[in-house]
Amino acid sequence: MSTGSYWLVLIIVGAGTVLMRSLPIVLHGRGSMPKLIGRLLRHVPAAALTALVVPSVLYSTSTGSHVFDPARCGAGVLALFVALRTRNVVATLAAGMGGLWILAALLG
Amino acid sequence: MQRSFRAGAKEVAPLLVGVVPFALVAGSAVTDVGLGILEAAACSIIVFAGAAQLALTQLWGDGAPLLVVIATALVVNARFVMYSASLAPVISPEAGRARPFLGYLLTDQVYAVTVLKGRENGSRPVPYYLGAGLALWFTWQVGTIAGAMLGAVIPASWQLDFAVPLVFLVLLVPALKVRADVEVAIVSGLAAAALVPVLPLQSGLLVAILCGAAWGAWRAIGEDDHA
Repeated sequence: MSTGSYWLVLIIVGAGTVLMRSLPIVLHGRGSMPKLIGRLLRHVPAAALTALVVPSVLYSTSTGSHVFDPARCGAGVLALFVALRTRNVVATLAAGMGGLWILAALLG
Repeated sequence: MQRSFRAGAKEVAPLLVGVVPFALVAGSAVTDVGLGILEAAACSIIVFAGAAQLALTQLWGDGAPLLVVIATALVVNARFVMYSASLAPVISPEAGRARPFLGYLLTDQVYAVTVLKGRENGSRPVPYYLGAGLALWFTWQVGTIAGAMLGAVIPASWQLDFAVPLVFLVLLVPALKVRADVEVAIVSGLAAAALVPVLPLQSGLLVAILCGAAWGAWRAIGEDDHA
């Protein structure tokens, strides 16, 4: 396919994405929001963070598809423990990455 | 103002450990399908969303119909509507004339740190958001150009992408203060585990977030009835 069609995709996706990112911030406070939407939005932070974390701890995607990965799970549980105890980013990163490298080496 | 800007950049910094290898992959994916460094840089500047950039580049390289390429990338990015709506009460009131320009910098990482930490320790949310957003933006641009020029030079076996869920774990723990949010996390976590591997157009993440938020909303209705 021609390079032109790639640029066309970039421009349309870029415009659509910046609209999706911007409209709620821009329109905030104009008109009242339905009560249900407000209730949904209140829980988006907890829902989004969990939905981002869980699949990347359960699955490896290095082959292009989602494959259950015991090393990631073990390291994730260890990191969760450290996160609960210390609430410290560096300690959690060290425990999680270290755990993952050791488990990956052991489980081959 | 400067203090808040720096606080945002500092909070997002550990997440950049995971962003760099992803940026290298996103950049090298563009040259892998036969395009140049210019297109790789343009993709990162115009789209600025890793999962969508990878999806659209690979589909385009496979010769998929343009409508499919565009629709897939937009579905992957649809979660930004929820992030933007969730972040609006935090940053919009203070944003003034900058409002239309803030959304462009919104990513998973910047959303997470700003919505959870942007008002802590006397920080002002708008400069905090800009500090986090610009730190990630520059890292992403440099990383994708490096990836396009050099390839994915960080070996995949290092699994540095794992840094992102690890930092999110630390952010998540204090966010689960009330029982309702613990339930929301369980619902969206289970939904994500089940749906992310199987739903088409990478829509599992979006649907899982909606499941969790819907559980929270439904629960609130029940509580109002009892009140």
